Amino acid sequence: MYKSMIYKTLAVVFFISLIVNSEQASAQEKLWIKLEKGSALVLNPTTSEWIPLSSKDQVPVKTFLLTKPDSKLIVFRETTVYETPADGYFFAEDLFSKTRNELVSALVRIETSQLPAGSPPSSDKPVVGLTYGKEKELETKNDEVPFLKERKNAIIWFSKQKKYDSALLSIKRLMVKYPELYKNQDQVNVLLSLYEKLELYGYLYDESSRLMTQKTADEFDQMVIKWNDVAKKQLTGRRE
Amino acid sequence: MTKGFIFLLFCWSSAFAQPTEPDITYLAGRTPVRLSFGILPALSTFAGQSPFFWTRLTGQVTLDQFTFNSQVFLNQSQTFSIKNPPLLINLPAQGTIVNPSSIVNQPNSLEFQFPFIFGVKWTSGDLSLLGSMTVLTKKTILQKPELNSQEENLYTVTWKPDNYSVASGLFSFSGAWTLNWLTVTTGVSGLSIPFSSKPDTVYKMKPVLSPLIGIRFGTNGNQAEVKWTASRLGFSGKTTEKFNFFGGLKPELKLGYETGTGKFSWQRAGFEFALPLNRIITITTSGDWVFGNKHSLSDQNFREFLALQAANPIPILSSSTVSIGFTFHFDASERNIPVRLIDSRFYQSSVYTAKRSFYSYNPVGSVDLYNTGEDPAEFELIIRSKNKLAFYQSGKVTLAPSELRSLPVYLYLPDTSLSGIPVHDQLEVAAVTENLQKRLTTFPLTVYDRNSWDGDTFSLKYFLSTQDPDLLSFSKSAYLFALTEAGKDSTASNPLSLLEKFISLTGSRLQYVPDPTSTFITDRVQYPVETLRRKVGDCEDLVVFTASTLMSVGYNCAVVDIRPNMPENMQAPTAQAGSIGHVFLLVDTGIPVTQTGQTGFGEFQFVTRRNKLGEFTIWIPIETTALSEGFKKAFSEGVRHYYDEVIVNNGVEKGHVQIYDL
Repeated sequence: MYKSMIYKTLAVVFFISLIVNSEQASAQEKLWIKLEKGSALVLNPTTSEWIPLSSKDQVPVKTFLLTKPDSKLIVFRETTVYETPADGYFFAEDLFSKTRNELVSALVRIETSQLPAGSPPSSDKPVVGLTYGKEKELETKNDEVPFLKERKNAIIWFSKQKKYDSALLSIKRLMVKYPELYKNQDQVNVLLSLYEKLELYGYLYDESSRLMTQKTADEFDQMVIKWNDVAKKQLTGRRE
Repeated sequence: MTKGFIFLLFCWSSAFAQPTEPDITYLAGRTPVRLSFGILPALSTFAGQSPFFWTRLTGQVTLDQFTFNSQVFLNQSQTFSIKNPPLLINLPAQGTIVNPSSIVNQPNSLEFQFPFIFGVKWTSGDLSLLGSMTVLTKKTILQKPELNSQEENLYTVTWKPDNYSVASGLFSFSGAWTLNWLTVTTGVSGLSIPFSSKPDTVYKMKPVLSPLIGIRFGTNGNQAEVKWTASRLGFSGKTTEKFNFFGGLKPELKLGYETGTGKFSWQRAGFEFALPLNRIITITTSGDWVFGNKHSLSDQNFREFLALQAANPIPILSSSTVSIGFTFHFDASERNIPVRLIDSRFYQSSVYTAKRSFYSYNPVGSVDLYNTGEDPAEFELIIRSKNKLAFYQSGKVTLAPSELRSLPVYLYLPDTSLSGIPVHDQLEVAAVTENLQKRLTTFPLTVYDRNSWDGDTFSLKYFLSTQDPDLLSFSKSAYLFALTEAGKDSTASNPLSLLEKFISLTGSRLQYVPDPTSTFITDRVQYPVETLRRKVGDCEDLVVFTASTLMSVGYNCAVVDIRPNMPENMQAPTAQAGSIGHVFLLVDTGIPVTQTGQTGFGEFQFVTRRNKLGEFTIWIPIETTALSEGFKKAFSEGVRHYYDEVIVNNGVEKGHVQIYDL
C-alpha cells in the first residue's frame, strides 16, 4: 500500500516537473527587433540556420544576432530600447543591462555552457601509461573562428558605448568557446581590463592566476602579472 | 649412595618454572582448549657420583578457567645406602634362637622418589587457587636374618634382603591474588594421605604442615618474586620483553637463587631459557647447581632430612644438572586477537555487481579498531559473506599498543549472475591471524546482479566493455567500412564524415525499447554485447552501447545526464526519454576547436571541451535513442536537448544537468 502511494507521489512530482520544464523551455523570452537600416540575421538555435530578419521581427532572447556593415538594428525589451553594433555578432541576452549578481550569474552560465568535465572522480583507480598512435595534424588558425571579426567589432562597440557588462559577456563567450584565444595577449588584456572596469576582482584574480601558470612571452607574462597584482591589492584592501 | 636428590632440583625447578599465562583473552561464550606437553632429558652429577641421564615429561591442559598440569619423572629416584653398625648377637651357652624375627632388622638401603605430580589451577579475574598432589613412593630394603643350623648348637646367620614399600600422596594448597603489578601468594604444604595399608616403620617420612608466602612484582613480561617457606628462601625473576626480536615470538629467560633457612645449609642457582622455534615448538634449556658441603649424613641428620621431604623437599648435597628438550603447544581454542571494535560505518547497504571494480578501490565502510594489548597486534582484515557473494582480505595490519586506527573496508564481488533477483546477504568482518580469528561485526548487504544499475549516471561507465571481443570485432568492422565509405565520398571534405558514417552504421539497427516496468526503482542496463545481440535498449543501454563502440575505435565520450527537478534526497533512475530523466551522449570529434570553420557547425551544435590529452576539441551531442533514424536526426535531437536544458534552462548552473566523462 505504502509502495503504491510512493509511486503515485513520484508520478505526480514527475508530472509537475515536466510541466514546469516544458513551460520553461517554451516560455523563453522573445524580443521585438526593428531593423532600421541594412540587414541582419538571427541564428535558429535548434536548426543552426541563419534567418534573415525583417524590419519588424521577434527573436528568442537566447540566441545570436549577426548584423551586417552599415546596418542599424534596435532591440526592444519591455519599454527599454537597446541599440546594437553594426557588423557585429553577439548574444541577444548580452545586450541587456545587468545587476552585479545577474552579471556573475551570466558569467557562470557561459562557463558551464561548454559542459566542462566535473572533477575527476578521485575514487577511481588512477590509470597511468602512454597513448601511442599517429599524431594528429593540428592547425591553429584564428581565422577558423567563425565571425571572429564581427565578434570583435561587437566587443569594441560595447566598450565604446561604456556597456562594459555586454562587452565582458561577449568576450567571455568568445574565449570560452575558443580557448586558444587565451594565448592572444590583446584579447586577454581586453578581458582582464573589463573585469577591472566592472570591479570583478575575484574573476580578475582567478583568470590572471590561471594564466600565470601557462608559459607565454615575457611581455604577455608581465601584463598578466600586472593584472594579478591589481586584483590582489583590491581583494586584500592594500593601498600603495 | 646412588644417583639421587635430583628430584629436589626439579621440585624446585617446577615451582620456579610455573607456566606463564599468555597474553590472550578468550571469546565470550566459547570454551578454549589448549594443550602443551614437553620432553626434557637431563644429565646430572650428584654428590660426586658418575653422571646419569633422566627425563622429565610435562603436560598441561587449559579448559576455560581451569588449568591441569602434570609431571612424570623417569629414572629419577634417590637411593641412600645405610651403613649399619655390625649386628652383635649374644647367644647363651644353652640358648636356642627360636624366633629369629625378634632380631631387629636393619635396612641397608632406602630409595624414595616422587614419580608423578598433578596440579589444578582455577583462575577467575585477579584470583587464582592452586592445588597439587605429589605421589611419594618409598622402598626400603631390609636385611632380614636367617638362622641355619649346621651342627648341634651351631648356627649361622645369613642376611637376606627383604623389600618393604609404601606410597602416599602429598597435598599442597595455595591461593594468589593479583592487584595490578603485585601478586601475593599464600598457602600450606605437607598434608599426607597414605595409599597403602602398610605402616611406615623404618626411617619415617613424617609430613609436617609448612606455610608458604610469596610476593611477585611485575606484569607478564617482566616479573620478580620472593618466596619463603619454613626451610628455604628463594628469589627469582623472568623476562620476555628484552628478547622480542625473533619475529614476534618471545624467548623467555628465568633466573633463580635459593638458600636453606633451616638446619641444613645449602645454596642453589639456576636458569631456564625457552626459545620458541614457531608457534608450536619451543626449545628449552636449563641448568641447575646446588652448593652443599655434605656428601654423607649422620643417622640423625638423615632422619631429619627424610622427615622434611614429605613437607618441603630440599636439596642438601652438591649437584649439577643440565637439561635440553622440547615443549609442544597445541591451541584448539579460538583466542581473541587483542583488538577491540570501537566503531563501524558502512556506506553501502546495496552493492551492484557491475560496479565490482569500484568497490575494489573505494571503501564500502570502515572500522575503528583499538589495540588492547601491550604488544603490537598484527592481523588481516577479512570480509566474508554467507552466500559467498562478496569477499575482501586486507594486507597485514599492525596496530601499535593502545593505537586506535580507522581501517577501510573494501569488497571483491565475483561476476556471477543472480538471475535479476537481489540477494540479501550478511557480511562478517573479522580480524584474522595465522591461527586465530576474531569476529568484529556483521552488516546486512543486498547484492544486485550484473545488469542492475544504481541509477547513478557515473556508474554507467562500469557497463562499458570496449575490450569485449565480439564488440571489438563489430566496431572495428564498422569503422573499416565507414573509412571506405568516407574515402569514396569525394565531397567528404568535412572531417566529421568518418564519425558520421561510423555512428550511422553502428546505430542504424538499434531500436528504443523501455525497460520492464517491474524494475521501476532498480533500473537495468544492458552490456554492449547484449544490446548488439538484442538490437534494442532504452536510453542508457543505447548510450552505453554507442559509447562502447566509439571508444573501442578511439573516440572519447561523455554522458550528459538530465535529471528531473526532484528533492535532493530522492534518487530517480533515468530510464525513459522525457519522462523521468534522460541521458544523451557527448562525442569528441577529435577536431581542434580552432577548425570549427571547416565543420560548418553553428554556435549551439557543439561544445568546446578538453579531451584526455588536454586538447580543446569539438564535442557534439548525440541522442542515441534516435540513432535508428540516422545520424542527422540523432545529432539534431542531441543539439535540441543541449539547447533546451543547458542554454535555456541553465541546467548545469541549477544542477539538474550533470556531465560524466567515460
